[in-house]
Amino acid sequence: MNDKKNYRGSTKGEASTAVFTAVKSTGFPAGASNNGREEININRQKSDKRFWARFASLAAIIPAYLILLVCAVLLPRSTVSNIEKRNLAQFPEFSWGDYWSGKYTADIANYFDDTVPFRDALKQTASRFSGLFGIKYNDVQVSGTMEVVNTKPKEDEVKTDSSSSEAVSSKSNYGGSISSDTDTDKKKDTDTEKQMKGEEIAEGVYANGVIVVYQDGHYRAMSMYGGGSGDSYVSSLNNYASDLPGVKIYSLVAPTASEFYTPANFSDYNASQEDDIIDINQKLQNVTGINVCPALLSHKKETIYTRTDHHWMSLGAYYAAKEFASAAGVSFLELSQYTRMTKPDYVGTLYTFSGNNADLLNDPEDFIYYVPKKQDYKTEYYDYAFNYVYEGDLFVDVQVSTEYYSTFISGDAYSVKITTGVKNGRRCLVVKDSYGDALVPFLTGSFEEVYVVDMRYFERNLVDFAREMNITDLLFTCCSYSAVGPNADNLEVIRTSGYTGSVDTQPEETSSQEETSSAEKQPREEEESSYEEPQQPSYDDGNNYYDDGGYDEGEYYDEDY
Amino acid sequence: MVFADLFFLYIFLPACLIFYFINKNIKYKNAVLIIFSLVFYAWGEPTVVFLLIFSTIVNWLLGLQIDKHREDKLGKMALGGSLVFSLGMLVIFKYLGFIVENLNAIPAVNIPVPNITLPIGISFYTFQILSYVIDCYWGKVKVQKNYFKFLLFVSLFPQLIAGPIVRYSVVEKEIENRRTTVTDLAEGSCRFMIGLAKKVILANNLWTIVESFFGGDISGLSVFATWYTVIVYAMYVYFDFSGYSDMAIGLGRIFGFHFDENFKYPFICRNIAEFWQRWHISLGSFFRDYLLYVPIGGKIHAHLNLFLVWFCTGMWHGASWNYIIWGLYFGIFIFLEQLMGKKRMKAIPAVVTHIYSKIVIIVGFGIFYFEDFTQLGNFFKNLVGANGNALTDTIAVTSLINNCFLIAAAVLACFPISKLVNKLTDKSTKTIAVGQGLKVAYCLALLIISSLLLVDATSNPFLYFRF
Repeated sequence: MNDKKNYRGSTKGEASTAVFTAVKSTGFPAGASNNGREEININRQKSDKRFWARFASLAAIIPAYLILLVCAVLLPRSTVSNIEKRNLAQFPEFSWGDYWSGKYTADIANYFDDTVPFRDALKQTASRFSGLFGIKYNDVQVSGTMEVVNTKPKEDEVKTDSSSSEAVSSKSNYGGSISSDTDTDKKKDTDTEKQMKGEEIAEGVYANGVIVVYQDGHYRAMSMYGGGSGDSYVSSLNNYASDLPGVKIYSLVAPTASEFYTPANFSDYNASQEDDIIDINQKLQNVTGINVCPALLSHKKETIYTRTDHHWMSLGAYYAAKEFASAAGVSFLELSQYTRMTKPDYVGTLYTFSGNNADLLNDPEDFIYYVPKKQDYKTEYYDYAFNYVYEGDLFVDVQVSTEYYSTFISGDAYSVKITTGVKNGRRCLVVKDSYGDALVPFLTGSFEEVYVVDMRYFERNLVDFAREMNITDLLFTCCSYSAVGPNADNLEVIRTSGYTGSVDTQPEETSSQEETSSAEKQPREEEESSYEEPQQPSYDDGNNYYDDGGYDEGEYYDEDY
Repeated sequence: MVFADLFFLYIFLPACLIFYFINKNIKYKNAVLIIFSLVFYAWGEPTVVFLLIFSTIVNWLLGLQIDKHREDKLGKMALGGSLVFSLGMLVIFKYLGFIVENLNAIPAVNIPVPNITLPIGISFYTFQILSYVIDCYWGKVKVQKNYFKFLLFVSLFPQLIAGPIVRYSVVEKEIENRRTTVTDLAEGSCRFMIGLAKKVILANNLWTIVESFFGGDISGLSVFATWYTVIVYAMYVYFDFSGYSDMAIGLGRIFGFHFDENFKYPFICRNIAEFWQRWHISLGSFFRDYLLYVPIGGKIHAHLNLFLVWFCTGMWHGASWNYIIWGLYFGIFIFLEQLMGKKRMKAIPAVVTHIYSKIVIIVGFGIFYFEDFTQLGNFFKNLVGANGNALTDTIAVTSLINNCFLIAAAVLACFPISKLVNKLTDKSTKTIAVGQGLKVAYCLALLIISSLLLVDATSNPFLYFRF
């Protein structure tokens, strides 16, 4: 930036000497006393005054710009973002192909923009500034698009087996005064809209926007639930029931936070999860449907859900697990038989999903989980095709605060086998999404063996697997989004797919899912190393799903639960 | 490359300024500007930069021919050749896909739709070239004998990709010789910072609101939500576009060029004709000078000519029917205003004309936004509640309250407040100093906030990819 200085230096010779002569001739700066001069003179004097003011402005602008420039260019560049939990962009390597496509130059600019010195601190300041854009009315802040899902009058509610699509379209009925024809049209519109975004909504709307509310002295973020039928989930489970006679099968669909904490004036945008769960349970045949909503509702005041993450808290999973144990008729360890563990400063995924809401970031919570006092169990980790990997702890010491939820059984990275001290001849297979992670540790006092596989990533035929392991109890547990969304489709894939023994087997078949799942999988496999050595933060997992700043509902709900 | 980007602000621009100001020789300065302009353009368009260079060579040569054969037929042919070349380029790169799509609507016609990416800024620089060639033919400007000076005029990076459309006559002398005065530097940099703030602080954040309502299916939006969003969208387009123009004008001044104003507070207009005298002036005046007053079909067809102008104005904004409708929509109102006559228009109370013009403009931006006709139809229904939708809804009210200060600031910025401040402070040395001090502090604060928000840029839309 010597240019401006140089420039100033070079013009000083001309411009400022010119000024000095002008000053002399008009008597400036004592010009205020020069009243009564002719007009031209006054005008000249005025323009001279402006000149000095402008000269002074440059004396302020140039150093200020220089300071910003030094900060932006010369200070050491950031390499890692703790907020976004990712490595920042690298300076690109040159290739002619990249150059001609414009990628190389774009990457250079991106590198510079992404690695600004003090990036995280600046980002926080910026989002705090964005908080000044308005008043937080009822302390609700909205991000993402939202659709009304709930204006259907209760008395019109007719539920038949095939009413799923009707239920969805009437749910998007705004004001309730539209004929059924337009309803269908509207549903089609919504469908194509969603499909254009690459979002599978065969089962109806299941994800709406994210809101941040201020309740009981704290900020809480939650994603609104759009509702859906869960037909694919129900038919899969019914198929499992006929495939596995003699095995007790349970369905535990976990509601998410919006079921309990949505403010009254937003209820139009949030479908009832309990209604959908009851609906699912009614359609299940030879499967025990467990509705945990009443149990959770009665503990609403406790920290059963995280405020900053899209998961529940360990305590919520505890109450749900208790319902499951009583339905299965097995013993259950009361909370007093666990040690309460606390990790402070937890800010989960909803910070990013809410569009980097500053209030959320500045109001971290404690991540609380419960470790059995009597540690008479053994935890073995297996890969998705159930090949043995290592023996470890049921809880993992996660270092990255945004990832604390992966404390339970290492998150979704592995299949797990837990051998407990219980002797009741019951072997439970848990088929879960990430909501199940927090629930599994509460089963160590209930079954002899607990097998845990992920409904999205498991690479073997689940029916064969259940037979092979002599499973007595089969629990399907996932959150409502997974039950009514495309995650449920995978249950049918792992039921019917043949196990080839090859790790390469991709359970997903639809092209749209293949993309997300392989993208999902890449980081998870790499995560293995970071969790084996817990002291090493897992930044280097190449995980870019928060990268684009703005969040895409489809991307995140399809697989993340 | 775009201006509202940290890489431009803190790498490209300072590098350019250093090289520009270390030598006083005008040839050197011009060379620096040409090189940096081509790098600027090639940064985002590494291949079509050659198209830009090719266009300038062809038109420069034709310009020479026009001058040489002023009296004979060859001059006319050169002009024709240049028009066909420039407009042909525009048609191929911008409208071919659109034309083929429409031809395919005819049964029995089935041409594969070509997949051509629009070279950024082609609409702007093509019009600059056209203005030069036509002015040259009309004898309004002297022919530019030096190719590099012509290349500088076309490729000058401040106005290259997002306007304004600078006429050759405006910068003719400054290309030959210019000086950056202290005033230019101070005013130019302040202007740039204000433009940057319009784009980064106002436009980008208004866009977030627009996206959250108009981003998906709009059939369920309430009447209030629809009006609210389209008003926010109108302001978004204004701040985005005029912000870019401000930055261009400011950068131009830093390099000693004085471009004409492109926006003059369009929303304070009293009628639609006045709106277009204040909105994207360089485009409006281009069509006025080169199309409207060119007697195509004689005086009888003056009205037809008017609609031709508005058809073209609409079409210029993008290869889609909604832009054409948008142009003709304004054409109709201007035609009606002409029928009314100036006197009768003036007789109408100001309140009425203001409300009339604002509604027409705001609804117009709805047409501008929705390329999809089903969505556009829903938009019109939503405006009057013909969808049976609610009058208001929680989300829109919450959004308004969540963003009330941002929107208030945006509304204020639509009024000529800086002019008022200038007028108030332009009294004595002291008040001028105070005014200037405030302005500098204000601009620097805007620069810092803009830079900060660019670090956190979650939405930084580029409006001109269709122009």
